Amino acid sequence: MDGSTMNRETTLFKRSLLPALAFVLLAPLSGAGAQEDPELNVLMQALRDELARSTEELEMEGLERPYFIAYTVRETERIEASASFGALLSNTEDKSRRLAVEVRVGDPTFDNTNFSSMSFFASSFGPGGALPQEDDYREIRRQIWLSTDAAYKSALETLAERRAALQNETRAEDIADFTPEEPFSFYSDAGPDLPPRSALADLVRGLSGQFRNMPDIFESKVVATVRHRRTYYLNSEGSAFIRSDPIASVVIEAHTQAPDGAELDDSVATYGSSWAEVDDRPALEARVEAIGGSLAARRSAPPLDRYNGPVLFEGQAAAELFAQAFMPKLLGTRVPDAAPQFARMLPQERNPFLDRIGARVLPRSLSVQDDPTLDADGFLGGYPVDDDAVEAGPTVLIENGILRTLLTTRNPVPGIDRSTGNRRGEGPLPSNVLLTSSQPMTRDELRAEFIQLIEERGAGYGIVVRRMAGRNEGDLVSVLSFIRSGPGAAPTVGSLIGVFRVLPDGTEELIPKAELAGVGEAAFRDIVEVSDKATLYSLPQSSGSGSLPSFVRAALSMNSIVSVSVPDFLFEELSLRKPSGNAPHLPVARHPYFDE
Amino acid sequence: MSEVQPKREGGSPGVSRPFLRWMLIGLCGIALATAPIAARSIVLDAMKAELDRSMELLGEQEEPPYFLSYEITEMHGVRVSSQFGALSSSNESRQRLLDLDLRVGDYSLDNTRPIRDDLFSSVFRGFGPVSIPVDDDPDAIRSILWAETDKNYKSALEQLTQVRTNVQVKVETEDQSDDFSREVASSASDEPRPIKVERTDWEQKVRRYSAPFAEHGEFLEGSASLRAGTETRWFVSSDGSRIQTSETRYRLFIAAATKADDGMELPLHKSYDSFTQDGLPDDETVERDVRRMIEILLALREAPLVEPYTGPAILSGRASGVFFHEVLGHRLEGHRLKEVDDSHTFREQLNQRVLPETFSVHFDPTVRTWGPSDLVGSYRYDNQGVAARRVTAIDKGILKSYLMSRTPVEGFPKSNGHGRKQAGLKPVARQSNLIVEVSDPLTTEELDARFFEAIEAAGKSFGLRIEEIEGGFTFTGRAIPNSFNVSPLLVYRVYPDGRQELVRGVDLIGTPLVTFSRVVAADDRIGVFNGFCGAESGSVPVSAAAPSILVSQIEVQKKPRSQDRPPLLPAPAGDL
Repeated sequence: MDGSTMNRETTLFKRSLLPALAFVLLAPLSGAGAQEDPELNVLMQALRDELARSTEELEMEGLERPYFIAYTVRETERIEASASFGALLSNTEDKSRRLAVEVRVGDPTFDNTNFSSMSFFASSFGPGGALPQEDDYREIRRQIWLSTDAAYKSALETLAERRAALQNETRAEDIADFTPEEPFSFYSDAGPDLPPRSALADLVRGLSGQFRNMPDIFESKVVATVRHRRTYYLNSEGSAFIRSDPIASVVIEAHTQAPDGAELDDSVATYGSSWAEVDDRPALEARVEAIGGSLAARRSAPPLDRYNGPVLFEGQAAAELFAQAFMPKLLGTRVPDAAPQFARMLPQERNPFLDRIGARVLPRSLSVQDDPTLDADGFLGGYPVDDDAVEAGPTVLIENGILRTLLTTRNPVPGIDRSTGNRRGEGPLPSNVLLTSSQPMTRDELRAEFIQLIEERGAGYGIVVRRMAGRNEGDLVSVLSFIRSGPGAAPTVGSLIGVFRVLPDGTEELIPKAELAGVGEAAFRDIVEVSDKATLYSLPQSSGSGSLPSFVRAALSMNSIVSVSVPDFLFEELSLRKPSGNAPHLPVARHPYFDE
Repeated sequence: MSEVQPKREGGSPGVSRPFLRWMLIGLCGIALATAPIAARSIVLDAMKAELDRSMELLGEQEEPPYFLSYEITEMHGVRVSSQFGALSSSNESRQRLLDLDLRVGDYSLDNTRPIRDDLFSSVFRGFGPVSIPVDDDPDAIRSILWAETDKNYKSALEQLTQVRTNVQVKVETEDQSDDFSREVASSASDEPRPIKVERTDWEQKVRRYSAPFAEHGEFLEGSASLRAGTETRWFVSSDGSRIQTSETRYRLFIAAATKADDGMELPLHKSYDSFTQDGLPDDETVERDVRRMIEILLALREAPLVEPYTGPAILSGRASGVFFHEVLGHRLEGHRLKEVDDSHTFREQLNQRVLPETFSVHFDPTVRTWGPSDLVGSYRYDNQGVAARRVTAIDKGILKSYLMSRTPVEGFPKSNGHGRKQAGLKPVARQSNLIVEVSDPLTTEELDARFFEAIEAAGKSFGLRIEEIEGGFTFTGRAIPNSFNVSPLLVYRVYPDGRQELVRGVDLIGTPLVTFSRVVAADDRIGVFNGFCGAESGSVPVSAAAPSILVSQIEVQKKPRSQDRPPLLPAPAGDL
């Protein structure tokens, strides 16, 4: 099951908003709350002391010394409750502290990074390991010492391997491996306390119990999660930060089958930066009812065979489509050098947008900005400092349809030699993305335009899409796709689960489910019109520099929240078809609870 | 292939291990129940109701199931662990998993028969673990049973079609036995065994136990952990079984490791297993054992390396228990005799001599203790609802029986209560408590005397005494040599004058039939080994109780050795 929403509507102005937003949103995040004194923090002290010793003394005789060392400690407290049909499935609590060590040898123009080899899977997780949960200075230092030692040795070996692999090759592009950045420090307050585990258990029991009134639903589940993550960072250039990233979510999933057997799923996720933000019982109850109602309606709706013609994406569907089909191309991910046998085995695709900077990638009226400093209501992707300790700031990605730059980390990509401050996890990720138009239409105007297109085409009807499922990264299909095509392969987009035929007279007919055929970033160049109202939508994303496949990252819950704000899109022509594959038979026995 | 579980407690950077190192230590699946279960089991009643309804409704289908069973396993446990005196984790967890066995066809041929020459069909069979509500809510439990039964039924139909075709197109199998055995129904309702673990007390204890390792910069690992919990199982089947069992287990585990200057990693473990909290040792005992581990590890760093050697050896009781488990036990697991690519080491050995006349080997899940030790491989019913029973596999040196699940093999049409698994996996024949009994044991002094004679007779200047074993693995397939590898932690070179010298760096290797023919004598000192064994049906608790044995010729080979140098900088000194 898939899909996620955080719907809030914001009205965007008719002109480009970028300068105005930048003004409003640059409110300092760092000013809020009581900051922790890093001098008094035992963990930071241990990191500082071991960093000092490693910087001064770590050296393998006759080999290069590190030119850069960084420590990241992620301290995570996570509680979760899941329930089905009114009964608790699990109610767990985890606490962990993990250290990651980055050691670079060589120099910023050529070092031990950006290299894939046969040993790549073994080293993907990087050096580091678990730290004690308590502030035991001596034991923390011992672990940092061992991890630094392992990271340094592995860096030396990787650098030698990379030099060896490249000695018989001419590098296609001579780009550096590490961008120069100004040192930056930031210390946030500790963040809110975790709610009691029982609060989550009570909520999911209650919400999942609503399905006892829905005989059309075969299986269902509600999962509530609160994750408080605090990141401690220190590097040898003098940067340091302590940052809190709390996330809370409630995910409602349901599954049924149509009378012809077609499998129908839906799921809605609600995200917030604290438990209090998502723990809105009436709103969540309404979402359960909505899922149940829409699945029941979809069960009896006549299916669509195939369709070519105008398609209007509204609300959540527009946001999900943008996030899946277009947003990944805005990331400046780099294809690493590879040992020759490795490059053959797992070819990696280059992001086509790397070669389109300065070219038009959207209609001239549209612009896209990423802004981690945006702290307006409902935007959850913000942060004050990224995972490379680069200060966060807004980035204009697309201006009047022209691609200006991509989101980057300190790992440079062709044509972009500075970080935009977007490292979130392993590689770049957006924060809060805003797509705005200089010539939007009202929703009524947009719909009129849509109807006119339908009539011009003489197709008899058009399609409006209101809900789209998320791309399920952990499922078997994406695992197999990775095995077949390597990490560069773009997974297909999610199914369309809220789809309607629109007749020229404006009447709508529900369709149970449909698939989009071959929609990529290029389709967005041909958007006909967009609405003036935007949908604010948040979804989990995981970053990668190509070294860890997305399903592994998803399984490790290395997710960050990205918020997007996009208007409704009208496409002149897209292709839709009914889901491929055969449908399983209906269950032999009826659901025992409804089998009276 | 079968092997014992790769389990290490904690683990620290720099102490990496070869991926395929499987060890007979570790502790999965231990849990604790604090919530008492109602005398009349809501869970069992819900399972029974849905089972009956499913059999009735599916019975109207063209190809109805001939057997259906549900097993729900609740694992409620506490785990507290520390490294070098600092707490690394402390948590409590509770979950219930469903296992479902639905069979179409009939006892002689059903959907579970392996499809020959199709590697993936067995891998992708089944749906993995399914969570069941921990709340005793019959409607919610039944709704999941219903959905899973339906999925399993549809997939069983598909499998049966494939099986029938496969049987037609392939040559006749060597073993013509049925796919499933008929068994009498069992019924049991154990009282729940609630236990209470004071987590804060144990947090303090494990800190205290692992703290002494922190005094030694050369140690890469030094951990202590407690796992305590109850495993409660509910089982119902269409042949009428209705079983509720509950078992508590406590395990305290100490693990330490250092690295020799040549890069060799040197691990050492100590575990204490008990069915009750009171059965665990007091602080003084544990602390004394920790000090002893430190002394041994420091000595091991300085110990000389052993070169490959063949010659006489004595295996201590604990070591010989693991040796019998690996070399003999895995080859007596009945279902393997039916696998077309298994080497069937002991299939033609039935009623033949495989050990000296004085040796008998039993597998007895009904024995709960041996001397002062609790045996963790005991249980009342196996995972197929069959009552546990004692199996004499080797009687006075003669092979008499195999370990049987409900998968029959020729000559053994019934289960003997050894169908076992970890929650979420399919049961196969597995070991329980392995007990080596010797009718005419020597005293330890007499065994030593025989050892010295054997050393002399072999023309060797020394023999090996193997005291502690980390675990091992064994290959039972045909595609690769049918061999075993047992990894000792503590090995001494013993000279004919009685001198002993600690050495390091060897694994005990060999092939089963030759090695067994070299077992000559045993003493009367029984050692008990408790651990977790991993194989295709997951990790299950097992025990071995055996005397020290003298083997006239063993072979040792060099251990794989890490090529990483010890850390470049000394351990950080000083406190904050």
